[in-house]
Amino acid sequence: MSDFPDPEEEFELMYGDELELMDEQNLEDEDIAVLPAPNARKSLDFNTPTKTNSQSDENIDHNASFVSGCLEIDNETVGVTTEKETERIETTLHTDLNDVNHRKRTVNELFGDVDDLFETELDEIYSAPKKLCEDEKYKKDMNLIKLIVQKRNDYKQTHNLNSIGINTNPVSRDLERNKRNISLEVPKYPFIRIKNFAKENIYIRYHSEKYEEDESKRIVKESNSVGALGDNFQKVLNEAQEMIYKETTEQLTENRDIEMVEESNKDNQLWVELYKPKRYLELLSDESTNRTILRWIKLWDKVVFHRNPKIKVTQPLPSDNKKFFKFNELNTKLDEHGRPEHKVVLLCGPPGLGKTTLAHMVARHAGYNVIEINASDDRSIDSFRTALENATQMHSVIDREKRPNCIVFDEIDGAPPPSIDYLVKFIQGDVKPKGRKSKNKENTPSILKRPIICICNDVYVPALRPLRQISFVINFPQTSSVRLAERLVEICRRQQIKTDMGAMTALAEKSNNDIRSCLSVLHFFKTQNKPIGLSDIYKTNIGQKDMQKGLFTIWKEMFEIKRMRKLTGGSSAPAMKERMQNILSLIGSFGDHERVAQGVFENYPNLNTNINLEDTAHALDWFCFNDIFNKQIYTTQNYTLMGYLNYAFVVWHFAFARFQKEKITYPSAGYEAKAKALRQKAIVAEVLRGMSPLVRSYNSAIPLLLDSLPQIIRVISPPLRPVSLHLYSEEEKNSLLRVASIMADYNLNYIQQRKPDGAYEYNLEPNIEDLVVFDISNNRRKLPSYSNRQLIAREIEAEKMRRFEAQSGKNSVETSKVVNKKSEDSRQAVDASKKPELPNHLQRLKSKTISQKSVGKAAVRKDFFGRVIKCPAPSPGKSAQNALKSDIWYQYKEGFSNAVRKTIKIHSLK
Amino acid sequence: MSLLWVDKYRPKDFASLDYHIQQAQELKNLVERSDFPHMLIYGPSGAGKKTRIMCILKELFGPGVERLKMENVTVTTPSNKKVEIMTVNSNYHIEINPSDVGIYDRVIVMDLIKNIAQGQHITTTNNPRDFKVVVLTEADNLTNDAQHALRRTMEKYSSNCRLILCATSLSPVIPAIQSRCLLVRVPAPCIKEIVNVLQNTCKKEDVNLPLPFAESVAKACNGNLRRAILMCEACKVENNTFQDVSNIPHPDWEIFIRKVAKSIMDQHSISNIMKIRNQLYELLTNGIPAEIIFRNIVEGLVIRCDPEVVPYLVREAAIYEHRMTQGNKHIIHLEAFAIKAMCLFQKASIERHIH
Amino acid sequence: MPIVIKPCDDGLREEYAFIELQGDLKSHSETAFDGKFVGDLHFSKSGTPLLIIGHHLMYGKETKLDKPFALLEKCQEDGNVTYKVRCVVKNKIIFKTRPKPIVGA
Repeated sequence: MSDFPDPEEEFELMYGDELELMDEQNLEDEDIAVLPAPNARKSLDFNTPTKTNSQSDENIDHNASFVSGCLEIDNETVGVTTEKETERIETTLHTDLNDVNHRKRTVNELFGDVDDLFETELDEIYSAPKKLCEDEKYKKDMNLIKLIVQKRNDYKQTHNLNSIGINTNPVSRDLERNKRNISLEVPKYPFIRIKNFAKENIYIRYHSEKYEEDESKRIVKESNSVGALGDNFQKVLNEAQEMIYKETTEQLTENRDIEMVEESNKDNQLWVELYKPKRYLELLSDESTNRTILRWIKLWDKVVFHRNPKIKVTQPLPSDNKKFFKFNELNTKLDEHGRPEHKVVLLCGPPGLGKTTLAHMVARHAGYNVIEINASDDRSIDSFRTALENATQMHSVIDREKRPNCIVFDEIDGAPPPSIDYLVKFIQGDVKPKGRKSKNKENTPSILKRPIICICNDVYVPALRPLRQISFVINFPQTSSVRLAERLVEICRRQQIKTDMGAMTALAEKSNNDIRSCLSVLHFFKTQNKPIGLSDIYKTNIGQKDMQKGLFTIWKEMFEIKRMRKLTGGSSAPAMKERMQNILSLIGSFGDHERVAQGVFENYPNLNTNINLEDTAHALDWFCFNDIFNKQIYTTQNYTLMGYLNYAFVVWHFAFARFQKEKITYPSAGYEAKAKALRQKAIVAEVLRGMSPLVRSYNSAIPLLLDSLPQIIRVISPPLRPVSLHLYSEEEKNSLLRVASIMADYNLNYIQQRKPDGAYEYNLEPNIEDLVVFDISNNRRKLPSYSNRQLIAREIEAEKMRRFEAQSGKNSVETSKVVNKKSEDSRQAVDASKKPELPNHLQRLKSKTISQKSVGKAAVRKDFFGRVIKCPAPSPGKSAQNALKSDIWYQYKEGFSNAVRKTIKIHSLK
Repeated sequence: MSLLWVDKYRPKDFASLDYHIQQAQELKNLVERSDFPHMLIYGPSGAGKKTRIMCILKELFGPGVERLKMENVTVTTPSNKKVEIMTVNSNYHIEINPSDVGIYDRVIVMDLIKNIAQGQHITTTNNPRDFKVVVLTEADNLTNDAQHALRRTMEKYSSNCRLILCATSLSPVIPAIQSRCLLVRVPAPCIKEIVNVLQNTCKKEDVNLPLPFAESVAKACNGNLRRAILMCEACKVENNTFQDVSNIPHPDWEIFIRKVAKSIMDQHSISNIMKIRNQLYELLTNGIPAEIIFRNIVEGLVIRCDPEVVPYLVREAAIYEHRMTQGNKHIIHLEAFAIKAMCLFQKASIERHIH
Repeated sequence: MPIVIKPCDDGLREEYAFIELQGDLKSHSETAFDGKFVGDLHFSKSGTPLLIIGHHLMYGKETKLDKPFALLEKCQEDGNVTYKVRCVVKNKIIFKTRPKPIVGA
C-alpha cells in the first residue's frame, strides 16, 4: 500500500494542472502543484501586474522549452499573477518542487499520453471544484492505469525487436511529448502564446527550470544509446575537445615553420608544366608503347613525305608483348593509297599517364605539326568537318618548316556520337566534299592523307564503338611505380625537398600511378618546406581520388557483411559505425545512385535469408523516401539535397546484409516494365485512332481501357457454331453482323499471322487481349475458334467496304447538294432556277444555227455559278451550249472614255 | 452507327435523356437564349457528361453536328517540333483532347483555338449562331501552362468561339478558368435510375431482364452507367440467363486486383512479395492508373480483414497514397504499402494469439 | 426632203436601254454579228448590272443619258420613208471596268 502514493498525492499528480487553474478562481488552502519561482524568468520582459488573472487563463512565466527560432514572441499576452499567489508559490516551491516535478515526469513517462483519460473527468472537477473524488473512483482508475501500463509494456517489448538498431520509440515519444507541450488552441496548462510566421497562435507549455535540466540530461542520456550513427555523444564530445586542443597547440608550432617561400622558378609555373617531357627520351610511359606508336606514325611516311618507310620484316612477336596488343597488332601493311591499314590510333587508359604528352611528342618527333582538338573545343559536326578539312587539306602558313599536320583528338569519349560517326565516315573516305559542284561525273571523295591520333579514358563508351572497329587500339599500361618514384625523387632533388624512395613509392601507389596528381601533391608540399616522410604521405588526404568501383562490387558490399579477423582468431562483423562509414564512402564515390538503388530494390526479395517484415517495411519506407526525394531534386533542381540520399543505402545495408554471399542480378525489370507500358499504351492509341468518328467522340483513353475494352472483348466473342456462313440461322447471322459492325467501329480486326511453328492463327489487331486480359485461371471466357475468327474477319472486311462505299457515295451526293446550296447563297440573283435545267438565257440559241460543240464528259458539270448542269452528252440536239464557248468575245480597251467626243454621221459608219 | 448497346441507345437530344431531367431542361433553356457561355462540365466517369455535351451541340446547331469526321492536325511548337493531334469535328464544332500530346498541350490549345476563332464566320441559314464550339476533353489533365494560356484565349476570342470543357474533377482546374465558365456538375446516376435505364435498353432489345439482376448490376457498377450497360450486354452475348447474380462479368483488372489483395492477406512473407510485385507490374504496364490500383487493393483488404485492423490499415494507405503522388515510381509505393499491410496483419494475428 | 418621224402607233412602249462597253466585240469566226448570242445581262440584288460575255464578267452602272435618244424604225412605204419612234431611250448601262475572267468549272 505504501508503494503507491496515497490518494491525495495521487490526485495531485494527476490533476495538478487543473488544480492550478481552479485555484486562480478560488484560492484554496490546498497543496497545489508547483509554479516555480519568478526568479526562473530568464529573458522575458514583464510588466508589473496590470491585470488580475481572474479572467485570464494566463500564468506566469518560464522559458518555454520549445521555442524555435522563427517564432516571434508576443509579449503582451504574458500576464502576471498577483503578488499573493507568488508568495504562496514560493513557500510551496521548495517543498513540492522536487517531488512533484520528479514524479510528474515519471508519471507522464510511464503512462504516456493519458490526457484523454483526464478529459472526461475535467467536467466533474469544474462542477465540483471543492470536492476531491471519492476513493472508489481512485481504485477504478488505478486498475485502469495498471492495465494500460501492462499493455504498453507488452507493446514495447514486441516493438523493440528491431535489428536495425534504430529505436522507433523516441519518435513516438517525441510526438506525444509534443502533444503535451504544444497546442494550437488555448490549453489548460500554463502556457505562453506565440505567433508563427503563418500568423497562427501557438500555445507552448511552461515548465520549470529543473525540468529543463532534467530534460537535457535525459536527451544526453538517450543519445548515448549507440545507434548506427556512430559513437556515444560523450565520446564524440571528448574526441572533439581533444582535437581542438591538439590543433591549438600545433598551430603555434606550425606558424613558425611557414616562411616566405622563394619561388625557384621565375614564372611561377605549375610543376606539371615545368617537368613535362620535352624530348622523346624523357617520356615516362612504357617504352614499347612509345615505340609502337612511333612505328605506326612512320608508316604514314609514304603518303605524307613521299619516302618509303623502313618496314622491317616483323617476326611473330614474343608472347610477353602480346598483352599490350591484345586486340590488334600493328598491321604494317599498306593499302592501295600507301596508307597504313589502320588510319587512326586510339590511345586509352586512366588519366594522368602521359597519353597526351606521348601523342604530341611522337608526332613532333616524326616531323608533324600537331593540331589538337580536345574537350574544350566545340565538337559539333560542323566544327569537326572544318577542323578535319583544315588539318588534312591545308597546311599552316606560319609554320616556316612547312610541317604536315597531324590531328590529335583528345578526350574523344566525351564527343557527341554524331561527330564521332562523321569522323569514322571521313576516315573511311565516304564523305562527299561539301560545296563542290562537280560537273564531271567522277566525284572522287577526298581520302585521308594525314594521321589521326585519338585519346580517350574509357574505350568501352558506346559512342566510340564505330571508331573502335576501324582504329588501332592501344591500351595504355600504367606507369610502373618504380619508374615513377625515380622520376619523383629526381624532381624533388631539383626542387630541394628532402625525401626518400620509400615515400615516393607510397605516393605513387596512393595516387594510382598518376603522375599529374603526384606532381601536384609535391608542389603542395613544397610550400611547407618540410622533408617528406612516409608518414606524411599516409596522413595526407590530398591526392586521393574517387575510386570507381564496378556496380556489382557495390551491390556485393551492400548485401554482404564482411568478416574481419579478430586478433584472438575467429572473425566477427565489424562495428555498425564502421559499416556505415564504409557504405557511405562507397556510395559517395560511385555516383550512379539510381542504378544501385534499382539493383537493391530488385534483388532484395530474392535473398536466401529470412528477413523479417518489420525491417523490410522500414527499408521500403526509405525506398519511398528515395523516390520522393529524387523527384523533388529533379523538379526543383536543388542538387544539394542529393547528399541525403546516401543514407538510404546505409539503411538498406543494415536491413538486408547477411554473412553469406548472394547472387545478384542486374536490374532489368524496371526498364522492361517501362518499355512494355509504352507498348500497351500504343495499343490503346491505335484503337482510338481508327475508331469511327461517332464512337470516337464518346471515348477517351482511360474509360476505354477500364470500362469498355474488357467488356467489348466479351461482346465480340459470341458463341457461334463453327460451320460455314450459309448454314447460319437468321439470328446467328444477325449476331455475326453485329459483331463485325462493332469491331469495325472500334478499329478491331482479326489478322492472320504465322506462328513460329508454322501454323496460322488469327490474332486480334490491335491486340487488346494482351491489354485487358490478365492471367486469370478461372477463365470463363470462350474465345472464338479459328474458323469463327476467320468468319468474323471476313465480315469485318465486308462491313468496312460497305461503309466506305456509303461514305463515298454520300460524299458525291453531298457535295452536289452543298454546291447547290452554295450557289444559292452566293448568287442572290434573279432567274435562279434551282433545277439544273437549261437556263433561260440559253433558250434563244435553239433558233439559230450555232455550232454546237459537244460536251466532253457526261459527268457532273457546273456552270459559272456552280449549278449542276445536267448535260447528257449523247443527245447533241439538246445540248446546251456552254456560255463559255460562244463565238463572240469581248476585248476591253483600257482608258477613260469621258474625254473625247466626236460627232459622227451615220453615213460614215456604213 | 455502332451496334453496341452503349452507343446505340445513347440519347441524342435533351428530350430522350433518362435522368437528371431537370438539369437537362435548364441546359435546354440556356441554349435557347442567345448568349451561350463557356461551360465546364464535370462529374464522375460514366455519368453522362459527353452525352450531354452532344445534346447541347445538337440543340445549338441542329443535326449537322452529327456528321463527324476525324482529322489530324499538325502544330509546330516554338522549339520547332511538329506535334500531331487527332481531332473530331463537324462543321460547327471541333473536339480535341489536349492531353494526348503531353507537355505540348499549351501550343495545341492556343493554335487550334486561334485558328478557329480567327476564321471569318458567315452567318448562314444553316448555322444560326455566330460562333463555333471547341470541346476540350480531359480538361483536368491540362498542364498549368495550358490552363493559363487557355484563360487568355477564352477571353479574347469569346465572340467567335465558345468552349465546352469536360473534366472528371474540378480541383486540377485553376480558379481563373472556373470563374470564366459556367460549372455544370453531372452527378452519377443513382441505383434506381441505372436500373431504369437498363430495363429500358433491354426492352428495346427484346431481352428480358429480371429486376434483382438489374439491381445487382447497378450496385456493382459503382455509379458508372457505361459499365452497367456493357456488363448487361456481355451477359447477354454469353447467353447468360440473367438468373445467376454472382455471374456478373466484372472487368478483368478488377478481379485481378482483388486477387492481389487476397494474396497480401493470406501470406505474410517476403517470398510472396516477389509474386505480388510481378502482378503489380503487370497492372501498371497495362495502363491501369496507380491510384485506382491502390484504392481497389485497399477495398479488397478492408472487406476481408478484422475490423480492428481497419483504421490502421486505412491510415497507412492514406500515407502511402499521398507519398505515391509525390513520387515517380509507383511500384515502390505500392509494394511498400503491401508490406506494411502484411506487417499489420501479422501483428494483429499475433495479438489475437496472445489473447 | 423632210424626214417624217411618227410616233409608234401600236402604243406599245417597250423600254430600251443602251449597253455601253468600253471595248470591242470580236468574233472568232468572221461571220456577222446578226442574231448572235453575245452574253448574259444580270442584275444583282442591289441593282448592279452584271454582264457576262464569253469568259468575261463585268460590273456596270446604270446611268441616265444626258441627252435621251430615240429609237427609230425605218418604214418604207412606196417611196415614203417614215421613221417610227420605237421608243425613247433614256438610260444606259455602262460597263467601264476591266472584265474579270471566269475560270471554267
